[in-house]
Amino acid sequence: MNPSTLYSQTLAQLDSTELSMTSPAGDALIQAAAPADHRRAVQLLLAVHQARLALGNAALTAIAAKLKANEAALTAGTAAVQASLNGLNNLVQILNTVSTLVGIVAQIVPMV
Amino acid sequence: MRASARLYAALFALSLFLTGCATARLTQFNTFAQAGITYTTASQTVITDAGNAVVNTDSAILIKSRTDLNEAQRRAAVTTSDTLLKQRLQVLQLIGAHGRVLQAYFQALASLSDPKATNSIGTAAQGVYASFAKIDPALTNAKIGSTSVSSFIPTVIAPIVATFKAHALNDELHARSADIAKELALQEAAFSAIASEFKTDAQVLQNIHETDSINQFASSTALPADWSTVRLPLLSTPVTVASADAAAKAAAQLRTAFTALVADQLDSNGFALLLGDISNILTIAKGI
Repeated sequence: MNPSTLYSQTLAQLDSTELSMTSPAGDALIQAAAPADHRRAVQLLLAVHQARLALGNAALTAIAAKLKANEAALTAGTAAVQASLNGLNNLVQILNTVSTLVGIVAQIVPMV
Repeated sequence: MRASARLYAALFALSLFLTGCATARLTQFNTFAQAGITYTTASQTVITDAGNAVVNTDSAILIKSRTDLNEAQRRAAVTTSDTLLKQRLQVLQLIGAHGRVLQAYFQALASLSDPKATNSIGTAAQGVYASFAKIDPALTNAKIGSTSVSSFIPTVIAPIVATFKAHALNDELHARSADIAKELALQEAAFSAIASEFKTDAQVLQNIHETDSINQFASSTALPADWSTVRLPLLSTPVTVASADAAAKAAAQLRTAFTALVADQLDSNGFALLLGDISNILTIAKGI
């Protein structure tokens, strides 16, 4: 079993345990328990919750690292697409400039 | 003369055909890019909500356990939780920041595939021709077949520009399709993980509120004045859970659409599915 599968299976188990312990049925059991058992159960709930947080952080950190590694490709892609767009925008600018220039020439020609 | 008229007619028909092909391809890119922009925008809301949910749930668990812990245990519990929550918020922030990089990519794709840019070049070329026509009046009335040259220009320019843009976008796809496919798979994995934890946090918080409500009722002390009014939201599925599911589903649909885009097989059915999921995540994000 690879670490990623192990993480997600353990995390799913912790999710399910915390949900079960906080559910109305789970809470009723904890409320009805003897004081020592009640205290232990509440401490266990806290431990399960914090383990879930830690494992969730590890799983998300592993994905975030892979996303970060892919960022250079995205930035390069954005630059490449932007360069094509700039090429088109420059063409519009050139055509507009030529149009203005030729318009001026057209006004001068009859005077010559 | 008739032969040249036929040639011009054929060229005209060819240009319309090319415009149709390139425009259809640009529309595919534009729809995909717009869906991507919407997805990245809405997913930022999901990330913020996931961060809020994890902190609120942790606070509720700490409060619930507080009376069963001694001072040293309470101090250790809150310190550990604070450390873990800082890590969680930091990693969510990293995923959010990365989402903005992805959004910039989609925005660039949307700009290049925008049909308005094609029109502006056609109009600019027409302006140049009109300027020349001022110098040489013969150009003003020049015709190809029965169509004036001036009105013909945007029609000729459009397929060239559309083809250029479609080529540029196809080149981009070929250069980075593996990276984008990987990116979308990672987005799906990230939002599945975020959604799973977000759902647990939201459900645990709701459980705690529900058991509080039950314990209040079971107790012999007087009920809070708002006891009955807060019951309905406690018994319904939290709206935030729906947003978490929608983000993961939209990421999966975006990946499917991308595969179809690469294969030039993104049809109206694919669009409908993609837009349905994206619209769903946006509606939920707006409703939160």
